[in-house]
Amino acid sequence: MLFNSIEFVLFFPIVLILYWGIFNRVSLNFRNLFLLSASYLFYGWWDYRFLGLIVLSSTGDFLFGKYIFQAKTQQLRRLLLIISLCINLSVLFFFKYYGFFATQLTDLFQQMGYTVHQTTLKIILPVGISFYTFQSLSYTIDIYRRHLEPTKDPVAFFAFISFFPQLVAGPIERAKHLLPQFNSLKKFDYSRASNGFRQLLWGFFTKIAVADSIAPITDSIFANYETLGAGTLVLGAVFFSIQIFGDFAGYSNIAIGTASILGFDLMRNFNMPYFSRNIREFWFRWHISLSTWFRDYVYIPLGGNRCSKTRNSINIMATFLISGLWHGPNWTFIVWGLMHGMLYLVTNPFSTKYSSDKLSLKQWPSITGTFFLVCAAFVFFRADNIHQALSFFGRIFSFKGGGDLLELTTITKIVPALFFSIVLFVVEWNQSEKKHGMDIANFQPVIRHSIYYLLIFVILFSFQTDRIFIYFQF
Amino acid sequence: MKVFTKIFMILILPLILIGSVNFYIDPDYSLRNNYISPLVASLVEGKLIAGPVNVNSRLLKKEWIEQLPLTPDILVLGSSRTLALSQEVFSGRSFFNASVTNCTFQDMYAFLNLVEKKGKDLPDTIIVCADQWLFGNSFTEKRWLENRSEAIEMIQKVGIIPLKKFPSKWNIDKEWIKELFSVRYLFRSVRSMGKVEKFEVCQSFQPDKMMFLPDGSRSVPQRVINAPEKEISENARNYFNASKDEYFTELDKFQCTLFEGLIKYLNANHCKIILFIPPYHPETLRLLEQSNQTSGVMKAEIYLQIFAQTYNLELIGGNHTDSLNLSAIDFYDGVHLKPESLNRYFKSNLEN
Repeated sequence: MLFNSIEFVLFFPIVLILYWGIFNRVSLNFRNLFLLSASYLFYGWWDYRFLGLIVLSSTGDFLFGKYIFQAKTQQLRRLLLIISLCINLSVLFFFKYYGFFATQLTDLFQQMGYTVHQTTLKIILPVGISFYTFQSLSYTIDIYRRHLEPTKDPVAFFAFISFFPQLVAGPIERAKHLLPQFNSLKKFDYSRASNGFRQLLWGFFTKIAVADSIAPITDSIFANYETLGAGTLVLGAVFFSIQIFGDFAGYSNIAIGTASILGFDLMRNFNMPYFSRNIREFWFRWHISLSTWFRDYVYIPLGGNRCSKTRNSINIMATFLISGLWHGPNWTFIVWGLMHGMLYLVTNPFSTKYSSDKLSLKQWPSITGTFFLVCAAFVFFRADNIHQALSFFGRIFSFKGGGDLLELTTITKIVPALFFSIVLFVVEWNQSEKKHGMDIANFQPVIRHSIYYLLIFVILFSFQTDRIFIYFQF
Repeated sequence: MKVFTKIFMILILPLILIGSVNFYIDPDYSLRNNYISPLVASLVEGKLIAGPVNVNSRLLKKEWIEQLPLTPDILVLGSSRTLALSQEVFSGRSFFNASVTNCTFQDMYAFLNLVEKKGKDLPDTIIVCADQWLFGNSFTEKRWLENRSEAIEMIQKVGIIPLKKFPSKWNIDKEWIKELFSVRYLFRSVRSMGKVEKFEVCQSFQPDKMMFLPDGSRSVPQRVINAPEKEISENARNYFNASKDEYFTELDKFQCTLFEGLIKYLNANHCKIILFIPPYHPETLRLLEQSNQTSGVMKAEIYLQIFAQTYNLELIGGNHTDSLNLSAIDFYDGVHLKPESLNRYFKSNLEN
């Protein structure tokens, strides 16, 4: 089920009524069982056959978590963790990467003069597999590291892995943060639910009004890049960057808002990444749940920065490489990851650590520079293959003239897309101190309600199709 | 109570207001279907109807077929590219054009089922318009779900494809809900308030209007058909840029199975099948041939030629106008032949 679908619009109110009206009042077990059922329904709506994978992943990690904790020796603990990692990663590898690596190996052997017949399997990528696998992995790893005790409640654990607001596209939650929230009944908090509703509304705005309005324009530019001028292609790269942000940050806001209305707290996933003043800062603000996951479970175990400079650089590049590959089985994602790694390494020595510094318009040169670097890298992310991405850049830097945007689309499509994008950036900037763009609890009621109506109006204006969230494919 | 009042005021009230206005005005006839029965009654009586372009043609054709007095000798199953094909080509024989805009194979199955239910036999001759995009995977028309039960019943009869491969009717109902609460539609509704074009029964042909004719064909206003050549060429180019239907490089197996099942069924029932490959405007075709993302269009033509040869079917038309004695002036946009040219082409080729 997609958030931006009629099904969800019907599903969520029913879940809310049953949740607050009945199940959260009866008992903890009933409440968690209800959340689990709702989550499985939410996921199974797409393809019920893949529910088996979630059940398998949850069962495996629930048991391994328990056994790792009970294991008497460090060797046994390590062995159990390795088995758990192997099972999870094998499933992920099979469904997500088998086709890619099989093709690469076949090509390699053929280039060496061997004839290899590739066994091709038609494998459907289960939605959100990378997200819930990573969430599940963090549980066993944290138990292994003695940062967490295993839960004794299988229903709570299964509900934690499959919690529908963040099941298919994150934020990737850590067990330490989310799992304990399944251990108590919730008290309805009006202000929290209101804020959740506002965040949900803001998420729908960024997804439906911004990302979905831009998507057809971006699609046209990337489909016809061979005939377009340099300026239009730059615009295409910028548009795609806004689209992917609107899409993914929108999803995250809907997820966090939905969870908040249910009384759960999810971690922030985006913190105005396009106002970053350097690449380092960008990675503190973009897809925070994933970048911190890689920091904690890949970068630090590799040695982090407590090693030589050369080794540290290798660690950074390796982390970005894996991060790129996580996004999909395509060389474009790998190059995107490596490009960010390179940009990080090259710009880091000159980058100021801004973590507690307030954003200021005076910093526009570094903000703009970082934004364009990120846009350039996103060309690889969006392109179908490396050749397309390179040709795209080739046309930009040859400064060739060519068709303009109005040959591909109409002004009536460009104007709303541009307008909503500007609104998004202005609001995000103005709300930089807040948790999300619609954190407006302190506004006067008349203004607040007018904003609600306006947003609902704009969302319904833009709601045309079930455009799938880009990050579902990861 | 405070929560419920707020939810009502913020969420439900705007939806009620938007939905009511849209449903009441319904400028594009996309929410209400109560106009269909009177239209069908007039058309079956042999009257002509003039009116708005937008109509739920699937429901219209369904009811129309159900009320046809006899099974026609000649039946056309096709898209807007054959909607102008009229009785005049087949004088002396009963004829019904069951074409609908963006026709899918599922629509063809549904209409065939309805026709078959009417009489004991199928029509003698069936013209199947094999639009190239039907063989790709980019064409995602789902309005056939309006007649889902009829289509599925026939597909089941032909027994070629597991039924679980077809979406449920909910997929089209959702579109209705979206339209009901659409703010864009609200804008159109408010703008059209008091000015919604009505269907009218006419005694004679009105060239300036969209007309439904008693043989099932449809004519578009002359201003569209007789637009300046430059404008038509522009439309042909725009079609290539705007349409994503032709974006396929390989034929879709599922679509081919649907098509082959339909043809084999008609063959088994001794119908004469005329397979029509509708041509493209030369400018559109040039762009399609240039792009490596639309090579499926050429493959579809080859596939149809081989298929027709294998099953000994009469095949007319093709992607290129050159071989069909047609040219750019015979089109009014990238994919549609002018009614006169379409009928002339059929007449001359069927006579041959």
